[in-house]
Amino acid sequence: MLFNSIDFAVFLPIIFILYWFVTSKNLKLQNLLIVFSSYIFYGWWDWRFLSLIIFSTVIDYFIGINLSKQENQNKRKMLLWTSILVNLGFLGFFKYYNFFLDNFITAFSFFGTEINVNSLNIILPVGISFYTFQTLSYTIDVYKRKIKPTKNFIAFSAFVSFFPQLVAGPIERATNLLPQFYTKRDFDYSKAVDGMRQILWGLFKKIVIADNCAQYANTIFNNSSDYSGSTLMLGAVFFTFQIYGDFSGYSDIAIGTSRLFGFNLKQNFAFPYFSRDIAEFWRRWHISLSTWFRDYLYIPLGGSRGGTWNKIRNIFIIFLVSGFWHGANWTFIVWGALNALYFLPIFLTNNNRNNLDIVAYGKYLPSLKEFLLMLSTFGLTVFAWIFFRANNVEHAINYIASIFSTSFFSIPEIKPKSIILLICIFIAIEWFGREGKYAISNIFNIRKRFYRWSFYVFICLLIFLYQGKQQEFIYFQF
Amino acid sequence: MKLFIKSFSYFVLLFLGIILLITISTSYIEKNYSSFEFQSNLTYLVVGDSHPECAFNDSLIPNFKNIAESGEAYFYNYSKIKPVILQNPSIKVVFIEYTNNQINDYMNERIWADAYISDRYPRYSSFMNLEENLMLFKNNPSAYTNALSLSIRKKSVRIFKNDLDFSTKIGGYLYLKRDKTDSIINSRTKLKDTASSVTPDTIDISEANLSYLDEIIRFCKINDKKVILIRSPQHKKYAGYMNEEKYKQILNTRYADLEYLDFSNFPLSNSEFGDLTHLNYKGAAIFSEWFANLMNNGLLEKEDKQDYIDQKIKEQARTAL
Repeated sequence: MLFNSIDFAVFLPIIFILYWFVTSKNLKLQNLLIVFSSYIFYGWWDWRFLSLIIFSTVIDYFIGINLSKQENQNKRKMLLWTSILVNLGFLGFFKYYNFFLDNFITAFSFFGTEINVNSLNIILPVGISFYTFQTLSYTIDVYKRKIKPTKNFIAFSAFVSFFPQLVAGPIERATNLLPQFYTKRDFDYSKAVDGMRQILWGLFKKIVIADNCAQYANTIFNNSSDYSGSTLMLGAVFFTFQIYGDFSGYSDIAIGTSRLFGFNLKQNFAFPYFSRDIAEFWRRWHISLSTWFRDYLYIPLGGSRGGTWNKIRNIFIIFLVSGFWHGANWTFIVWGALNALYFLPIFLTNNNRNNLDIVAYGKYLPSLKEFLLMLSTFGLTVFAWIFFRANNVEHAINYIASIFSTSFFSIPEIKPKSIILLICIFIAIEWFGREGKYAISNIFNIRKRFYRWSFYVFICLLIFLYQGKQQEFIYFQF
Repeated sequence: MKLFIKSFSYFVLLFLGIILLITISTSYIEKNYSSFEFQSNLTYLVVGDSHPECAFNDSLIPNFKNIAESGEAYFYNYSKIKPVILQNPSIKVVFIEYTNNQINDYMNERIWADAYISDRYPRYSSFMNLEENLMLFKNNPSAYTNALSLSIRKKSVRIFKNDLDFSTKIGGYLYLKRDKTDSIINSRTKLKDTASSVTPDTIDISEANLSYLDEIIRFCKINDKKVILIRSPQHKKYAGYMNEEKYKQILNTRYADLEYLDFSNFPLSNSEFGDLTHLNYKGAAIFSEWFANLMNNGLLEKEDKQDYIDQKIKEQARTAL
């Protein structure tokens, strides 16, 4: 079920009413409703793949309990690896089987050996990368004795399948989300209003910015040989806003929806395009995934300890795996490698923690230096997104080569004035709201209701009048 | 909780009220101030899809206006024909294209499929009633919502620019340059087999489309306009003929009280067709001059119009040889 669909507009109020009016006095019943509604939400896309979620839930629930009982370290390790192999096994099969097979065939044929194996027609279950990582973090945390395993199966099922963030995150940790299923939730007016506000902003990002940019980005990327360098550049910028509007919009709707039900999820995006260097960008982009890789991959590998080569190795591993997590295509791996290359110089010179604060905090405008730093970081991300969006590496290279041609200085063939104006409005709102958790969280909080409502109506009108053709969320495929 | 639901409901009502207000006001202005006026001596009107759009070059036919448009279902024909008839009282006869493809159920797609709804609805929404809006919403809610927002934007721009002359926005003769008939025939050697393999029983009818043909006919009759169904010239290998039996059956039952003129056998060479379905500009010029001549010779006053047409088609075929 898509957040920006009529189905969800019907589904959400029904669950909201049942949750607060019918089941509010019984925590178990409330959690059961969450599980039930989450399964409907997921099954709306394809009910067959519910079995994967249920299987993962059951496996990790029992492994968690056994880990707490077991004192023998070898047996504990075996339990941990069982969870890792089952979860990554599903992920590997559904997401990467054909990729590895195709590459093995190509590699063998390169050495003159022909292998005749047909690739399988596998459907990628929506959100498998997200819920797999969420359940894995639970088992690893139990193994490391960071948390106690839950004995409440319904609460655990709700944690794994919680519908607002089930298919595209934020990837929640058991330490943050699971305990929220143990305690009674009381309706909080200000929290619910804040949730609605964040949903509104998420819908604006998705429907107005992402869906409109998608139409132009798709046209330009799919016919890149027909366009001039300036238009291709414009296409890359459109995709840059598309992916941000799409994914951060989804996160805003997920976090906002969770708040309607009394839950707090972690912030997933913190105005990444206002970053002054790549390290800051990665602290602000898809935070739940970056921190997941940091805690469960980078630190166990040794992190920033050890010699220079170890550091370089670890940085490359984390960025390459992060790229590969996004999809079984070399384009994502190149995208990850490119970001590692961006990151390494500032990391090795110990400049990666220079910009921990909010840019131009308390000011209306950035300094010239800050502006140029933001612009250069934005330029680097736009360049990297070309690999992320391209159909294959060759397409990306041709695309970039065409940008850097004399036609770069020509007038673009596509001039979508209204979309560019909307992007400018979007950037302005994000800029003035960058000190909050999301762009419109603080702007109008202290004003009169008339001004607040006028602003909300303005955003709603923009959503209604400038809605792009409905597109699926990009991150569903990951 | 009550406060939240109350505030949220008020906000939703406020927002819907604003949308409704904008929709109604822009529709009101367009409905009352748009111009669909053509020349004062206009007597004949032809409406339909791409077949008459490419066949009737109205610059060659006196007192005649072609407002047909590619891919347009009767549903949208109906929306535009209402203001055209009301604003052009000189019109006496309305020719409506009734071709084989227009009975098929894929015409439903031409009413509410994404591409058609997003193109047509923003143009004609001011001239549609609630029932028509509901039909679109029911069959494709997401595309309808999308088109509704687009229509408000487009209507607002038209009103703001005072661009309310619709006479050039509702279709018209299409000067088709292409000449692909031979290449299509060569590449589709199995066409005949495909056509003959489909029996009339397997053809589903678009009741939605035909119901709006009924509405057009009813509207014309109320406004004292004579309605004549026509079939424009088609290539002999036109795939649409596969439903001929069903097509004729509907014509002879549902539209038995209407006059029907069949020009489908009008003799033209492959180079005078753009493809198997449409006349190119050469074919349109030949057909339109011939049609104008027929009209001058009092076609509409003849007792047996189709016999007269068939006879003239034979003569034309001999001349062509």
